[in-house]
Amino acid sequence: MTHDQLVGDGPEVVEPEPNSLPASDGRESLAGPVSFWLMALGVVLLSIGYLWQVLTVPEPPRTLQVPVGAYPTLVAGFLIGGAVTSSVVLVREARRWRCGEAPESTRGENQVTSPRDLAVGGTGMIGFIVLMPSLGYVFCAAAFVICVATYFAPKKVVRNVVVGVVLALSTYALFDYLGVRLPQGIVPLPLHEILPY
Amino acid sequence: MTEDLINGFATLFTPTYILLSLLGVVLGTLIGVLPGLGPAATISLLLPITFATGDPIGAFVMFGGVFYGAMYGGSITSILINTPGETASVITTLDGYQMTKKGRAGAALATAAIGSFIAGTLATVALTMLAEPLVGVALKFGPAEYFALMLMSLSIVVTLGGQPFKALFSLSLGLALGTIGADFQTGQARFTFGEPHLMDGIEVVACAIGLFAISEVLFGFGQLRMMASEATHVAPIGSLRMSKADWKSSAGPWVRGSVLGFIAGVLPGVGATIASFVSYGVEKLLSKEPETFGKGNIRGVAGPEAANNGAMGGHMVPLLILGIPSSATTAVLLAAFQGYGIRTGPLLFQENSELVWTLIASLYVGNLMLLVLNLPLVGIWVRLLRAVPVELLFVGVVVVSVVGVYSISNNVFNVFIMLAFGVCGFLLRRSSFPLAPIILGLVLGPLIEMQFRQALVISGGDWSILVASGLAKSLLLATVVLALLPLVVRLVRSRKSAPSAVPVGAGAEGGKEEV
Repeated sequence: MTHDQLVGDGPEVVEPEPNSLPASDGRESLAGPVSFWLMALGVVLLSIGYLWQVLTVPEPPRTLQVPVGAYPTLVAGFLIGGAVTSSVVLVREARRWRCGEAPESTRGENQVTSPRDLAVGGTGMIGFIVLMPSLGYVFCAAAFVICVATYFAPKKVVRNVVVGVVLALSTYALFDYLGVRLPQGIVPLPLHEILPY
Repeated sequence: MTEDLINGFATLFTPTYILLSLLGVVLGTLIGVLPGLGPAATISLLLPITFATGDPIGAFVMFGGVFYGAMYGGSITSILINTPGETASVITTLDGYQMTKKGRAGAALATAAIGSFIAGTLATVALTMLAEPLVGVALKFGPAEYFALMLMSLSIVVTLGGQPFKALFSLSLGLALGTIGADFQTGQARFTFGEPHLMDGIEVVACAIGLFAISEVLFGFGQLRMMASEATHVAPIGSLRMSKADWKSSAGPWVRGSVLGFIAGVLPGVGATIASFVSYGVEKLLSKEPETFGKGNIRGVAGPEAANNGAMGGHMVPLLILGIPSSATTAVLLAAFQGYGIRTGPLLFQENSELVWTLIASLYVGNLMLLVLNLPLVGIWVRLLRAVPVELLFVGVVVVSVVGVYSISNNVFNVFIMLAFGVCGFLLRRSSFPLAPIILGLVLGPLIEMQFRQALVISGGDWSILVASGLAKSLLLATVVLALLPLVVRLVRSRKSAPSAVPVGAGAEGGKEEV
């Protein structure tokens, strides 16, 4: 991370971290391949879980020419086939990654140069969505925009506050006009009761 | 046909629809230029707003503009900052950015724009010409033929899209998601876990926005600082005039790219990205100076840009005529038709003739708008790229996505679904699982099940109806051949390389061009 590259207009700029990690790089070199191993396991478990659910679908009492579970059983077969074969591919890719050859999918536009930024942005987004029903749309949307934008561009607090408040209020007003009642929470704004539309 | 098209133009040429077409074109270019949203996610986000207005013609006219505009916008960033706005513009970076570095960005942008216009127009002409004869054929299809045709479409998605095993998983996942909800014949709940919101199935719009917009935002957060540095370094454009030599070099690639793109677009799962890569390969193969490709050869921009726009037109053929989507964006468009209660398939041309022909007319006009407006205005897009702070762009996408998905059914359940798909999309994309087959499976799955069961109900439970007609037999045979294709290709390759694996193998693979 190059701190002297701090720019006033936007986020602090960093150079991308190398994607192909040497095999001897301790924990970091393990993290990528392990994620592929976990993914391989995840897709197999998901497909087995789906098959299990298919087998528990209750059939209605009357006789049908095609049982309710017939088509899902076919799909489960394809899902398991796809999960097993793609898991083999993932495991092969993970092995190559451990030897220093990062898969194509982790480069370019799929590259994550800063896991910390991803964690902060992702947590902010999840917080916004989870808290929205109780705290309300306007409050959560404005807080999300202000907090995340300020994390990335700490020198632009005023701009971030203005954008956050305007964006939250304008989207609320637009959808209120269209008849969509977004969660009110702690900042109730019954615009449809005040404005004549 | 001619009369229908003229009526389509007559409907289109009202101030409201022309403005909506213009809005779609501008919006499409905007999302193509800026990172964070693609055409599928944008159309998904616009759906709740357009549903509220209740005018399907206006909505589809706007979606048509977004459809083409996104591809054009994607090429601008590929050429100027070496960052493709859309995956279909990835190949354009090879020669487009090299031309920019040589001070020829203007010529690269011009050949991309003119090529896009030619391809888009030729594809729309082909759609116009093919519509009536193909509708006549499609009307003869029964449930068994439709079932076979949809199976064949899905096998193409798996085999020709690259990464066949991962595509098979993605597609099957989409099909499995499509089985969630009440069974359409008996009302029996399937995989709903007692959640009443799941009785109507997974909402396609929430799924599409999650997979394409939210996962993109997550990647955006992870690489935001790097993107910010790229966006601030935009090279000067220079003159937009093409020299005589440029015109001569571009003409062939434009036509070849248009044809290739259209054919690729008609095939499900192949689409604009593969079309652009194939076009690049063809141009390199036909060139007398293949060594100049990757160093700023204008043919390397003209061909792929025509191909990716041609594919967008090609996508419309199976969507409008058969009601079968061939890409994520057309899957969302199919969901839009369903949302308006419009019956898709060949009957669309009979029951909603005005809508279809106005949409086709809007594709002609939208292409012309893109050429006339965007070439002179390219400077504005570049300034916008510099001006919009990426961190605000990404948080803005999240806010608009949340409010858009919430508005589908006025509850937060779909927003949670969107979030879950966003995280899954991120993880799947990171492991190179293609995302478009998930949407295709989700949209096509219920239709396949319906045709499958209707066929069996007609035959009184006799499964031989699925192979009773010659057409159904041929389509199922093609499905089997396509499904086995990757295995056969792999087997042939391994046999070919086996005897010479030790002395030649490594070198041959290492020196092989990706394209």
